Amino acid sequence: MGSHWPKLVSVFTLLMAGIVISLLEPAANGVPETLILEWIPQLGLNVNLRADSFGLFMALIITGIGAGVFSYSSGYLADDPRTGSIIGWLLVFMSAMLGVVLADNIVLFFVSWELTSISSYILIGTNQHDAKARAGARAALLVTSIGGLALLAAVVLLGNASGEWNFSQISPIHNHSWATPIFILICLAAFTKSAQWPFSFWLPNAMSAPTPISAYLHSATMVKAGVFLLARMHPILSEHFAWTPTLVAISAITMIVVIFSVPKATDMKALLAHSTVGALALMVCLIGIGTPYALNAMVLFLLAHACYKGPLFLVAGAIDHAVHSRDINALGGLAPKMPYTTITACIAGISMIGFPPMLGFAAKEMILEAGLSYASWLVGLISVLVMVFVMVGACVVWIPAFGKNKQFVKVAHEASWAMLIPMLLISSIGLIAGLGLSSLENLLIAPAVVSLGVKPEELGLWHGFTIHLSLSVLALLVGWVAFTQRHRLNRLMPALPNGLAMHESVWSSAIGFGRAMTRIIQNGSLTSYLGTTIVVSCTLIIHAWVHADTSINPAIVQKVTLAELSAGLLIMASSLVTAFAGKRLPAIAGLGSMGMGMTLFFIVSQAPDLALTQFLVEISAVVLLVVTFRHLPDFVAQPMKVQTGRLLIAGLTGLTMTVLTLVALSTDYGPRVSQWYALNALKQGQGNNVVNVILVDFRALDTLGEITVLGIAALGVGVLMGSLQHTKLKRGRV
Amino acid sequence: MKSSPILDITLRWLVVLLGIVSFFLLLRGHDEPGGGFSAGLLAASAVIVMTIAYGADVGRKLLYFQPLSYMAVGLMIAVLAGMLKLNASFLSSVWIKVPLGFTTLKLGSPLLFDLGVYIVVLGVVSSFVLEIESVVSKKGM
Repeated sequence: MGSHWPKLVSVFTLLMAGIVISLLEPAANGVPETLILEWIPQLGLNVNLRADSFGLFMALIITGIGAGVFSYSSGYLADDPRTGSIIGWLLVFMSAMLGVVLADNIVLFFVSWELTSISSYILIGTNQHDAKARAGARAALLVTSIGGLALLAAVVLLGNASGEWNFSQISPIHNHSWATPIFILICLAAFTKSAQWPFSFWLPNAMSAPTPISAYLHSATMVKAGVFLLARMHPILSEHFAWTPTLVAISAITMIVVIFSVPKATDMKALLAHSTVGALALMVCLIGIGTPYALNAMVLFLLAHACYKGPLFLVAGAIDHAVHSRDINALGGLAPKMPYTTITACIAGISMIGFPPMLGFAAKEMILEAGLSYASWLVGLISVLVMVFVMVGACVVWIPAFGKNKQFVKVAHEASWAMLIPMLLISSIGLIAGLGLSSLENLLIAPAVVSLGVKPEELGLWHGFTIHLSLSVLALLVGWVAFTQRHRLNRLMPALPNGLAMHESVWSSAIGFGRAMTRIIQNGSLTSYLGTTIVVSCTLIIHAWVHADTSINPAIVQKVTLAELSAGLLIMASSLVTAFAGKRLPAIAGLGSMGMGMTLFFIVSQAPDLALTQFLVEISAVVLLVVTFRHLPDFVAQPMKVQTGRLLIAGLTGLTMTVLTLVALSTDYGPRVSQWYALNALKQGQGNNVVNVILVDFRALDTLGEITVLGIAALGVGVLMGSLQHTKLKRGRV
Repeated sequence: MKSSPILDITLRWLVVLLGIVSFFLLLRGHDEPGGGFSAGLLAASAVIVMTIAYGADVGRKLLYFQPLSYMAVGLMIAVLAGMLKLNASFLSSVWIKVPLGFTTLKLGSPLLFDLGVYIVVLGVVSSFVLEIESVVSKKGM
């Protein structure tokens, strides 16, 4: 077996869960623990953590399931060389997710939110050699980052509208004029993260990730961040007129999409992913209804869902690990070979289909009652969704364990204990919590609901013979019938538009647009780059000069000394030589003597440092040119039209720079900073050479930037030369 | 190509001389004309001379380390020089004066910073020359 250190990580995560539990009581008493660390105090940005009951409720799910997933991974990944990076990124994700649920500062919340998206992207793309995994990862990243940008805008608007940057201090803002944009942006963020229509396609496509990741990120924790955001915003925005209609409508559409997608799926993980989208839609819907009862139901369902969907994913992973298939049309009869996996699957599955005495049953009854209090059509829709859950449960629990197809029975083997123990433990929480509902209520659910700003309702497994009980019995029966007739249903169901395909076409047209733009802008001709750059900047300068109130002082022209004039003449003469030289060698010589003219100019102006550096640069440049020019193709004279164009550009440049220099010299800028440098070089910089003191002390940060740029330029030259050695550079390709 | 003893001996002395002068330029840079930029250029010109005379391989041998390592080490020295003074903003200078009897030696973080600049410039310019020369000589043969 592989290394055991992921198990240590698991123990460490369990310890964190212990810390979370120890924080529960002060939070329940209304005095949550807070922690404030300075981050960027100049901007008023601090790491404000506030362990309120709802946050802790989520943190307990994150650390609890996390501990299980780490232990499971040590068996599932076994000798996989990527174990280190997967566990590392899972830890990054877990920290980010804890940041999301415990952050009080909304900017910190945003940063953590984005970190979960990024770690999710990398984890989905774990099988980076698989094109499908890459496409799924990219879709997840792009969709969730649209939401991330929306969240950033919402956070900025929210902070400015309310004047507060902590969730705990923001008062309801539904009457503010920005309430509607904030609401829309928050919805965008929550719906992308929690895979609601029309963004629901990314979640089923994220299933190419290894199963522990699917179980942890894409069912138990990360996808619930959107739900969490909506719940956090509930006290602040729920009075907004669009809150209930929007949330209920979008979640209802999502449920319909799920109802139509499930009968088409045959992959265990895809089935579970579709039902996760449905479960998230239920949570969004309950927050939308917004009554205390509905919020109670949401919190209870959130816990129940984490306790059954996580283990079901882990079961799917264990079966995949043992027989290398997740296709429900191929699996069957594994129960005798994998007894403990089957027990886990049954416990979790019974909770999923909402059968007493499981937690899932209590949650489902509350959901149906909350739906009933809102609208009868909604309760009908939820019943159909429950029926679909029954179908999914039957498909992923019944078929692999007891199905008739026995082709894999021979190779099947039970998973290792490192995988089994967390599966069994997490799923049995659903059973224990269902039986001990009242203590769960006092410890966890009621305080969490209170911290959402509503009063807790009494939870109970048995509500008597009510309408919703008969509805759930009906859903159970119809669900079973639908399961037995699933092949017929599969044929009857219309195919939905493929979200991923649409996303891919948008993606590829964006890339195509980029290619086209690149072909126009980066055409590969150095001459046209230079020409464009020079003409544009000269035009801008002349435009600014024409519109500015400046005049050229004629006195500065009279101050020119003979030495300066001769240096200038040398430069002019050598530039003419360069321009009219018919061959390369004289042109290079002209360039070199132009540089010498510049050096002379610096000497005349009493700038020995500049002169020295200019001199050395000129020599190196000329030497380099001489080394290379022998190997360049022969010099070809350009046609007259091209020559004239270049002459015009050159003339424009010369004219602009002359004007610019004259204007700059005629303008009085007030006291010069150079005098301060000259006065303080020795006093503060301990040096007589003012230029050097500026370079290495007063403005050392600029120098650091410059040498970094130099290094990068050298890297660029290296890449260019290196690639020229091996392959011919293709044009117009990115 | 036939080797020329005059070229060989001249170059050997020239390289040593360029190295010494460049170091001299670096050290005196804080008070007299000089400094990391020009000193680095001068040091790189030793590499340029050897590269042109004997080819890129000899230039590389003279440098001993990869040009890339020079850039990395130089940048690292410059950044470290900026962090020498504790409890102050980045790149604050710190000086110590060492009395040597006949004169006092002035050592400070800006000098270390300039050494970083020197090494980066040496690495960058050498890498330009070596890269171009190795491409050109392959094409030209």
